[in-house]
Amino acid sequence: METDPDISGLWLKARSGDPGALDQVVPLVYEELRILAHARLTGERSDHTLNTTALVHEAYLRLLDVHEVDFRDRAHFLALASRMMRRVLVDYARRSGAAKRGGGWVKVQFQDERLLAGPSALAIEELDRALTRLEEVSPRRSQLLEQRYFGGLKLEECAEALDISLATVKRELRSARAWLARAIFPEAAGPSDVESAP
Amino acid sequence: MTPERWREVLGVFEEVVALEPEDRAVCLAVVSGSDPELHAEIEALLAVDREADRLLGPFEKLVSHPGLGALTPQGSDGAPWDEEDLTGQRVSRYRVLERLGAGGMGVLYLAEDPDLSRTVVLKFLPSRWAHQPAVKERFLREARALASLDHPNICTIYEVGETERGRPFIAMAFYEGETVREKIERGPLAEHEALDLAAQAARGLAAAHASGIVHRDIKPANLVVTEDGVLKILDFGLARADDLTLTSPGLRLGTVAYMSPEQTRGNEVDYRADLWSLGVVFYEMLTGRRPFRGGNDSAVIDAIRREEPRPPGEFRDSLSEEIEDLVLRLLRKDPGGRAAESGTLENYLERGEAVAVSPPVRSRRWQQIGLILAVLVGTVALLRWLLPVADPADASHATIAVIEFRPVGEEASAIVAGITMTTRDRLAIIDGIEVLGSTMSAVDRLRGLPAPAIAHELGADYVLTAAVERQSPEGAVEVRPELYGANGTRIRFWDRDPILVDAQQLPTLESSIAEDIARVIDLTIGQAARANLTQPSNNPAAYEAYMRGGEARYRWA
Repeated sequence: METDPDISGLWLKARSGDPGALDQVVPLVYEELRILAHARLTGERSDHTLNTTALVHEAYLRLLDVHEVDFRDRAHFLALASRMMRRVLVDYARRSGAAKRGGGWVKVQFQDERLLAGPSALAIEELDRALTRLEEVSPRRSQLLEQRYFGGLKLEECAEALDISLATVKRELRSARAWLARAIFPEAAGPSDVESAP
Repeated sequence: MTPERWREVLGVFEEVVALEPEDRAVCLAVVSGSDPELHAEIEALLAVDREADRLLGPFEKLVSHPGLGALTPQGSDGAPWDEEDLTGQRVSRYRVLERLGAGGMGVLYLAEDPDLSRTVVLKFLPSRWAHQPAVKERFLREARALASLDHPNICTIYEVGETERGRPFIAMAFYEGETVREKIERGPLAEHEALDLAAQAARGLAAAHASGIVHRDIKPANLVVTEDGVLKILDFGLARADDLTLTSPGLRLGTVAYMSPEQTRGNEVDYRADLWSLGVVFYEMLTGRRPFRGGNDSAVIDAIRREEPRPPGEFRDSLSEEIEDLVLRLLRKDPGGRAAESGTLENYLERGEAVAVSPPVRSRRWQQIGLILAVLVGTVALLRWLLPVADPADASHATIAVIEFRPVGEEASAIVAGITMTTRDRLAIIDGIEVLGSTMSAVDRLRGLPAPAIAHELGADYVLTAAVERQSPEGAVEVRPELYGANGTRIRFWDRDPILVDAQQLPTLESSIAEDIARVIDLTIGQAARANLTQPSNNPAAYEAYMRGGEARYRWA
């Protein structure tokens, strides 16, 4: 389907530790996801929402020759694509926020988009900030959430991508979600020292 | 707290939360010992952990399925629908000021009418449709029908025209005010205000329905309340994407929260779908919450189809019984239960409107009194119109899973996916049949399993599949349907010869299959559903294109 740069080859090189190859793959994945997202949102059959899991998996199918990569590679690629998906969405969210701030009267809308834009864009920006903060505490837990939310990785795939056991994935996912809920809904845990909220 | 400290907290939390709930307190006391901060943090995490799904569910949904709006590329990134930004240009006599947005329904601009020095909203048919005569014709026809309505509760249409390059547009009023959505976001409305707005919306809808126009997308964001308290229904059934493309009936647009059960099934809808949506809005205005909820679209759809809404009175004090009954009546699953069978809102209009709509009064005070009168009379009339209808018996439902049809030979493999999907979609519009799995992929992953396993997996009463054969690319298509019961027994329902259809008659293929199945499993097919069933696309070429499109979508899933 996609032939010009041999992404499967680059990917395998990157997997074997060639940082130059990885640097080449990353923008290709980003661009593919951006194009896919754009097409999904504007196509005739658009249902006006993105399914990030579907996009990440479609990017995988389009970019990699599935005969050349195995399950392990697949999980790692999906993890990378989750990160790129996050970037694509954050970029969109910021642009949408900027556009919104540009025209104050746009309150009265004839269509859904900007009304929907608010919650989605805010949620994405908020999650992005929270994940960045969690990354300082625990990069792995942050990645775990990133992979689940933006790539829809299965628990087994997360385990493979992060090279940890399934039990660890489950355990850390639980604490990561609790941390996130606390970060985003600080009032939900009841009265607590505000300073100590994550 | 430092990152190191947080890591410690998270580590302890993981140990504690892994225990049985009753053992946690003791363990926590032991582990945290003389460290009250640690103790407090773990407790806080345990508290949110119990609520994590409720707290994070909607949030997770938003980030993993963000809405179009959040993502619509804007400004320099290029307009998604419109090759050309018209800002600053003249269109007909209007001067285009600003692009407002674009979506499935069209492209919107704010513009100035210099002759009358007023601000208007221009809506253009997306340009990729503008040059399809049938689509353009429909857009213009609907716009003219709307323009002729001239109802105080419907967005005023000033003009329906075409640009010099032949692109149709509608010039309509620009209202400053607040949407009902914004009102609801601040909390439940006062009962009289909710009633007032619902009655106004009902009057606007009644006028439209009387002219045969169905809105299909009533939701709080489409209802604007001007500073004078007049509600205007926006975005009226114009150039709807689902009419304009040969989409499968299952394709849904926009938010699902206000969709009627028949809309969630992708059925063709009539004015009663608007009544349902109005009921949802009404409910939400009264209670501040939506009657059908879920963590994601499919959960919401499931609730819409199956759950009985909790009475709105549970969520607010002192709601009169009449209002509650009215709301719940609008939310009947069966469209027939929402309104008198032969009636439209026109009946209500005849009884209520004469008194309800007060003549224009100058004084604001009188206007308010007029509005209140309108509410009271309107409500009573609406109640009278809605309540006396006998409850129709709930239609029995049979669930059916459609497994991808088996191609016999090379030629058939190109068309099985499309035929399968179309069959599913056609089955879905039969009253009494519920087709399982909102996407083919849900069913598709089970391909290869024996029928009983599939039926069991999906909880289906029936499993349908068929063998499809085609000898040459343009040749006739032969279909041999197979139906299995929940226990896997093959049901002999196809005693006749295989269905034989040549390409020119493809559109009739699926409806005959669906009809036969429906007959055999002994369900009633409603007149409306039957009308849909016998009239898919009449254009073989378009149909062929639709099928191929369907195939692409199928692969994608």
